[in-house]
Amino acid sequence: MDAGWLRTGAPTAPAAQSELERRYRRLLRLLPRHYRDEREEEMLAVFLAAEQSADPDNFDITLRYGSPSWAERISIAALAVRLHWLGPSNSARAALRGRATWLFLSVYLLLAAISGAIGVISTAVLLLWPPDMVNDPLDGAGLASISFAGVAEFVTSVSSWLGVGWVLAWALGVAGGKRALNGAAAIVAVIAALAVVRWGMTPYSLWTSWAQCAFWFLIALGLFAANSADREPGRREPLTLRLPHQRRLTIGAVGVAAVMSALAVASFCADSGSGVPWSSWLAAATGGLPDEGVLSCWIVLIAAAVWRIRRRRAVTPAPIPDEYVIAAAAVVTLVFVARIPWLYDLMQGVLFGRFGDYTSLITLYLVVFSLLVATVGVLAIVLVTSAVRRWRALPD
Amino acid sequence: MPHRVLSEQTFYVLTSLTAGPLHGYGMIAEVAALTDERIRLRVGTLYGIVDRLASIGAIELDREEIVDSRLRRYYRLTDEGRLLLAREIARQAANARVAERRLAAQATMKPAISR
Repeated sequence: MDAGWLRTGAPTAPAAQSELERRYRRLLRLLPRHYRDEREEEMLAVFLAAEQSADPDNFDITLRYGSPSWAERISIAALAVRLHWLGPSNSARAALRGRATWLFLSVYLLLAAISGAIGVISTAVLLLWPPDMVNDPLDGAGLASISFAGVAEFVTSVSSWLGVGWVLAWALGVAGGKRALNGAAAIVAVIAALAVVRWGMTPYSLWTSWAQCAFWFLIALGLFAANSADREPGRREPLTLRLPHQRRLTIGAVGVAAVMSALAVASFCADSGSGVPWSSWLAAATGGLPDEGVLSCWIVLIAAAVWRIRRRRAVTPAPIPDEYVIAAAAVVTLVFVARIPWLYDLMQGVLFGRFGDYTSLITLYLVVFSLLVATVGVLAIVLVTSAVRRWRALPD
Repeated sequence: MPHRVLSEQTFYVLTSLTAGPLHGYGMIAEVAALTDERIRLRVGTLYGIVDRLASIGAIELDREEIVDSRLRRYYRLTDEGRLLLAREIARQAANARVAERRLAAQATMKPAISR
């Protein structure tokens, strides 16, 4: 195909706005306003010319009934994510935003992989090795009870495959390289799509479930958008989700997954046996498992405590890089927001029926708010304030 | 200008502009032609690349035209862009030479091993 004729030729587009044009303009609304002011007409002309060239005989029909392809939609969405987040310039702020986003994605995928592994392990244990045998695991009878029905249920369980998916996405991200990262993005997108189907089939699904699906789609899009960009000058190693101290982190992640899996199984077993006094406390401590929200709460709080202790002991405390502060602020704020419905449900179960309705409601709000602020909230406020201060200090 | 490792799409966009200024669809068509239709750029992808190349001074606006009441912007390669492309070609050629030498060495070693 010779593109030279285009310099003198003209793609014939009608003067009146067609349905295709209207749909494409609607799609372009994803882009920032300043960018649309500059580029909208130009991009529209290119899109229409490409559509005409793809099927010149049926272009009239395409104009009337056609709509942008999925590949086109994804490319615009990826451009929108990049522009909204990184901006068109190569400023210090844009570079910092990029590094902080990448760190956030790395941390989130690690947490999701741990919670995915917990889900898979605990589901496998509970289905393949029923709870009554877990209560008495040392007599050797447990292994004999593995049933084909349990194996079949595990293999066909969607949630167990989602867990495997998160672990696989994280492993691909750590392996690094263009194909591996695109694979990781594709897996996260499939997980999000499966979650949409799942919540679509569930009556009365919570808004938080939909928000989580949208968040996962954003994660996939973020991975894809960052991976499709040119690499920074002088950077020779492949783009990867590997974090600093990756080996220690992997060992730690396996350890956390093992301990949390044991807690999840123990909690389930304790729940199934009535009259066990500590079962409700264990269930509350591990509530929502497997869930990266609860996991993040614990990990972030422990990490903050360890950091404070090490900082006090250090003679000259090393400054934390800005992107770490911003990424940590994002993780903790996410945990803070994600925990609200969980804590609300928990406290509702505890309070209602014990007091009058109004007293219960007011107490509920007060207790939920105080608990949140007292736990993750303080950390979120400190980190967010610090992140904003550092951000403001940078030149535009 | 520090050397950038270009993505394949960016590399072909730069290559498409070596013959002269092109507008957006011209670049899409030229890249498709250069790669035997293997790379079909989407509009969002193309403008992501155009923005990045313009921000590092590798390409610049040549002129604007209105054709059939549609805006066309033509872009041209700058001297910086030519240098960037030349460096990328040299990098890829060096990679290819290393791999080629390895393959050739292996081919000559194999008969010796089998004997």
